[in-house]
Amino acid sequence: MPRNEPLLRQIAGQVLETMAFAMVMPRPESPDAPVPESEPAVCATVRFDGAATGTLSLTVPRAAVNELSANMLSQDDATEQQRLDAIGELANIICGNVLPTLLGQSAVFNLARPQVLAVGLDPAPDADLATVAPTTATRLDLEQGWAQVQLTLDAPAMV
Amino acid sequence: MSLNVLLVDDSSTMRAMVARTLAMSGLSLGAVHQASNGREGLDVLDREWVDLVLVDINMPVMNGLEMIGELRRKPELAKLPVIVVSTESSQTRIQQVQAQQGVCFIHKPFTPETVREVIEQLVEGLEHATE
Repeated sequence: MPRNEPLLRQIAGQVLETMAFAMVMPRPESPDAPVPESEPAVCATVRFDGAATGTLSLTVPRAAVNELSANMLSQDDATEQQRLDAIGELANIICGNVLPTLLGQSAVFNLARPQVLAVGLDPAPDADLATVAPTTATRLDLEQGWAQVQLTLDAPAMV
Repeated sequence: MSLNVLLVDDSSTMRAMVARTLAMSGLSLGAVHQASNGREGLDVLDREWVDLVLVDINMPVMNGLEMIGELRRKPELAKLPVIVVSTESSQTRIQQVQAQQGVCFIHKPFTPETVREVIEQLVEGLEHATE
């Protein structure tokens, strides 16, 4: 398990709890388990550059998107785009907190707008993300389902 | 006294989240206006009475720092309280924000309690300054 997985897990859990009122369960037995291919999911990715370049991705099962987004927006009648945007915002906030924690508080990063796409039903649409091993990854069990967070640096770094 | 608030963020989702957090904070709120960038925010300020602005940093057309600079140049808005709400964690950039007069910073993720505390401190500080 990458040595910074606990930090990634802590930050992701805090963001999910604070912004989406998610209930994070105790550490699962297999935190590195891959996303079940048969389960439709939503994946939000945030590209970043600056002190380091790479991508952070947040994947949650489709079934959890509605509840998490409803919690964030305080509305049950959100549009599909609003629900997906909410997951993108979670990824954005996780990324904004993970990078300085892992790579230095004085470092400056530029985060691109989150890209949100559906995975699980079709082969991974982003081949780069599918083939590049993440630098650090974690999986959280939630009352609403699960969440997988992966941080991939384009160049090796002391992470 | 109810606060009339302006939320400025290019993400409608984030504006909804900030509005939700404000509603949960227990503060007495009046009108809650929204804008998707700094230019739109300034347009709102030209026609609406606003007591507090919550603004993101990174936005198209006009970003948060540019908007703050513009409104500080207007005599009638020079002392308008502003809170920057951002994921920004670079101490350099945060210090640039906080160096602006009458500007506070709230880091995402945020709780209703944090938002309330920052707003109360900011408003209280301005009330003391005008006494």
